[in-house]
Amino acid sequence: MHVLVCDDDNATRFAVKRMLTQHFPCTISECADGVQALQLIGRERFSFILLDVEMPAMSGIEVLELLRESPATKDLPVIVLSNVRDDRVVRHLLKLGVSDYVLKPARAEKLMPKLQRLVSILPKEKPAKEQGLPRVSASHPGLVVDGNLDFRFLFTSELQRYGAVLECDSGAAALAAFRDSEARIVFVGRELGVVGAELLVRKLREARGKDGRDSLRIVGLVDEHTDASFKSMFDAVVPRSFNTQELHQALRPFVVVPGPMTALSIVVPDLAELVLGAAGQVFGMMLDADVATIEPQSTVVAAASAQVDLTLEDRFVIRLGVHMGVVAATAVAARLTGADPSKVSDEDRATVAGEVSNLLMARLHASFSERSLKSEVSTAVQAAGGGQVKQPKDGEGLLIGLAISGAGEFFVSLLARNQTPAETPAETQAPAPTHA
Amino acid sequence: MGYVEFDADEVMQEFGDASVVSELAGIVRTDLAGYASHLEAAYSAGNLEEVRRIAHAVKGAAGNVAARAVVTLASAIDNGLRAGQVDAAAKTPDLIAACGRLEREIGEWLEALGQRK
Repeated sequence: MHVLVCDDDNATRFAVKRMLTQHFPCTISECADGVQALQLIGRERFSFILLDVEMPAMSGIEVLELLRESPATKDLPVIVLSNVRDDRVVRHLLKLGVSDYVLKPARAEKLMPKLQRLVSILPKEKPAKEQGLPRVSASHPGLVVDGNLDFRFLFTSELQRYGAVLECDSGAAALAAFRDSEARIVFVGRELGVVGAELLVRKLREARGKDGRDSLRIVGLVDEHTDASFKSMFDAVVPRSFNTQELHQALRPFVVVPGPMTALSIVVPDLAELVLGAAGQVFGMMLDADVATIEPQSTVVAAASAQVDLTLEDRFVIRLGVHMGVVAATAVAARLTGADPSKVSDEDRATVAGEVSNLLMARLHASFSERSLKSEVSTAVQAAGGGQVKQPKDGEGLLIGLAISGAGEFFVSLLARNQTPAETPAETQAPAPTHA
Repeated sequence: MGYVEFDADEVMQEFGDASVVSELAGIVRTDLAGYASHLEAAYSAGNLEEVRRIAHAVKGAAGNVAARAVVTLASAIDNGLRAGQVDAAAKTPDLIAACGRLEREIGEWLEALGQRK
């Protein structure tokens, strides 16, 4: 972990550096103004930054604005450490996206919990020898072979949180699947049938040579009975465990954990299904209609949009956006108000989008509660006029397309981000939406 | 020995190690001396923005050693000038004097810590 401490106060830098090095395995770079900070950020790769606000040459706010404009640093976690108590400044910083805001002086009691929290959600460092090795991700599937259905199901469920998984119940099936797929990482378990683990590993390595998949990684699934010679066949091993927590930890070096949406998907793996279920209930109730998923384009156009935030487990903020096409928004508004569709106004459509987003969020909230997940609808709907909606980037969110039977299309966007503790409901509550 | 301008107990409790505390207090002491002389120059020149900027810096430095009176005075100047209240600058001589007292007390404390080692 490499941390930048940027503060013009020498004693604060000293205190913070000591706190960091005492409690975390980390290296630290330091500077006393925003210009130096940007120079260092351009040269070095930091896990996060501790940033003062008021500094000579360039303020922390200016640094943060520039960081958020750059694709390379827009997600770089920043904890602001300042003695500026101005509410406008704090709100502006939160809007720019900071992990936390801590008032000076730097005291362990205040700062350590924030640091621990941030460090706990940082992507784990990869050992140098693992750099560049294949990992399971959204674009790189993993192949799992194990004859035990229960274990395979458990393992696949865990791995699917990070990307596509091909599962096979025998060594022969695994060879065929490997040939027909782009998999570059294969997890080899037990009970493989005629083509056992040893033969499978040999054949996979031969196949790799033929089709140029030089970076193939073969991972053995092992338990306490596995002997050393078996383990030595593999590039790496992970425990063949039925304990999901243990598997979760063990799989980290073999998967890509990209962004908050992926982290969120570990808590709620079926978020998209929950949204679809909620939409089915809402539109069944409103219009006595069914909804079905459709594939959204990279950019969709909405006549009416609205959004609402939900805080989940004090860790994530899920921003749910409802983007309704003109046909869907008009049909729902006409049904709700009893008006002739030709008389439905833009305002009516915006109201409908607000209503739908509130109802969807209420359903999601109820679903989370049923699962004993702590959730809180923390920001009210901000109705807008519609416009273009882009597909979120991988790991940052989802855009779900839905068709209402006989009543047009609408889209639900889900954007996840890590919550900053300052986002208490009292501070972020917006005016309540107007309901139809 | 009790100190008036800062809370030695709080600082010891926060950082624990006497050598760390000495280093931290030494940094604050050195910085305060520089801030006091800059503050004097800026105030004499009527450069209120510079007065405010240094008062803000003093607030940060003094906070590290729990020097509450200095922090309060520096905050009053920083916040007042930030809000356009030029009268707030009239407290600058008091802040310079308070910085001097704090600097002296830290010096005595450092000496005492050195003798204890």
